[in-house]
Amino acid sequence: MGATAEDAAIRASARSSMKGRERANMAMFLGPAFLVVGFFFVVPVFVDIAISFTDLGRELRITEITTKNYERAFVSDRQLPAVIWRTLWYVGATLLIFNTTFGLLLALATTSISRTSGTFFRAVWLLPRMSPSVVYAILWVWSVHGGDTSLVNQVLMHLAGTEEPIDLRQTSPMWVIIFANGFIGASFAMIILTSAIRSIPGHLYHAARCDGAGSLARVWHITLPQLRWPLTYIFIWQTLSLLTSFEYILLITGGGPFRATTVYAIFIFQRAFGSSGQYAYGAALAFFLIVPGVILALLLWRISNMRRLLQRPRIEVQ
Amino acid sequence: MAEMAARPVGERGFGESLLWLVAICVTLAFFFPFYWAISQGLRNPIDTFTVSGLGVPWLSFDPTLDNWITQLSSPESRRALANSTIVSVGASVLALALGTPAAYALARFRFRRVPNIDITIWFLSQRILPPVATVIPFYLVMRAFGLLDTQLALILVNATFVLPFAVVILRQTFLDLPLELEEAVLVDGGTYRTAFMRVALPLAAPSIAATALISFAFSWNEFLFAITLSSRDSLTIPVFIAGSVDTRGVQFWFMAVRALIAMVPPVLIALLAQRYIVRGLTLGAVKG
Repeated sequence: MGATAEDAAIRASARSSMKGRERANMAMFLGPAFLVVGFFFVVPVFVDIAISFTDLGRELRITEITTKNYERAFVSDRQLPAVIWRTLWYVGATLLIFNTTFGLLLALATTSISRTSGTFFRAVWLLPRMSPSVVYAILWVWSVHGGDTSLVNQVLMHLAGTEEPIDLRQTSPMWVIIFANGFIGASFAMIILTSAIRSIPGHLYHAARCDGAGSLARVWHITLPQLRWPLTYIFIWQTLSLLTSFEYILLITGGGPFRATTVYAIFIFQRAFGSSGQYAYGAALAFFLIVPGVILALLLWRISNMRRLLQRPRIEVQ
Repeated sequence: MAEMAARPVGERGFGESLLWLVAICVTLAFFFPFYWAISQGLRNPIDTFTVSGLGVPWLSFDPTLDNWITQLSSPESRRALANSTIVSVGASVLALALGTPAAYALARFRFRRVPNIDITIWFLSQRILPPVATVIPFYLVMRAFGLLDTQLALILVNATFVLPFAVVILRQTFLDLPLELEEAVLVDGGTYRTAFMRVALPLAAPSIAATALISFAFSWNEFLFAITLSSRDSLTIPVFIAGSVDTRGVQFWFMAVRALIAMVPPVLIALLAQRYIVRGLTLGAVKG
């Protein structure tokens, strides 16, 4: 559908062979958006790189051009190795437990029940993603805070008979943020995989059934191989978004207790906008976050062939 | 096409019921906090901690709208609501005004040298920049222009964030429109602009409306840039709420109402325009 319309558009534009008019149209239709995006995204990257070679701080004065921010990041910042390790752990755990595995299970479950109810559950899971992150974070805080009025403690004390209230943000802060981010991440995978599973041709399943394949065998030999590309897409895209994930962590634990949940993005924010206001150092740290972003995006483009995805939706959106 | 549902009835018995049960349990567990906020918001402050059990209005306590009235009539809440509305509408209008012609160009014209797909990806690729990396330059640029703590700064920022989404979704919409109608305009001597304004725009109106709504919701929810670029005058609802977590965090009735007020518009939009959000997610145009 999309492809034919595009071919037709190409034919149409070939027919009107007035090149000058075409260029004028391009400038008129595409120009403004192109420039705005360029200005607001390319410029900040260059500003970021430029600042990272200065000593810009709270007082907004640049007194020297220096590489000491990078030296500091590589050599003298003692917190940084722990922050990076923590970030990898957090990204890995969230990605493997929630963003792929749990999302896949949800997708398999919602496509196994009837279509209408499957769509209903999908809508339900979409709601936290579409709520303001602040609200979602507050609901988490209410659920896990250490007082005996929190949801977790109400359940534990009334239903399970626990004596003392527990404070999950103190005892297992990392798991709290993994769960909070994971639920949102799982909905991303579920939505994409649900569409993907629904677009697998039914005759493959019928054929497998004729050959005597059970339901697990059908999932293993038909569904999963067909999901290879969407899963790759989810994996890379979610790695990217988890590396930069920020808001829920800041709002639920604030990076604490004692930096236990200070992942890389939080660390940048604290360095740049915290009490010290070291904009230049924050910019240098941020630069290291841009690099993996670009690499992962190129990888996504190469592996999953983004061009084909946009030319003709591989996943039929229902 | 996908005839997964076409299975013998006998096989739907146990397995499906189990799935249903799990799905319902997970959904309930997941959404209990939302229900809880609604319940809290309807209570008298003195009932907040005394009500036990599920806290069903009318059964466990007498519901009251006092908290809602207090919240909606306080000047700070009103200002935050007004800011959020102005910023979100402004960003949405700006993004659509820039994005719709761009999407049309990418769907209909062919540019020599650079393929259209690559231009589309250029728009999408802005999504990979980590917000926390761009927030420092943005802060400094806005500061240099004297735009800190203004609605204009937030409108500009949010408009650029939702622009890729608008371009990608609307390009798909224009691609799906029949080309013949616009060709008829061109054959009759009309310009591309006439074809766009008179034919393509009206046909794409439902899509454009949905995109505008979703852009509104995304701008409404935005937090990181709102908190760094505004301090007092242009506080939006999310920042307003975040600011009161510390001071009013224990006053659940306050927070519940504020949280719900903040949540209602985007959630309604999500329900209305679900199809487009899903499409945005699958095309990588929505932050994952």
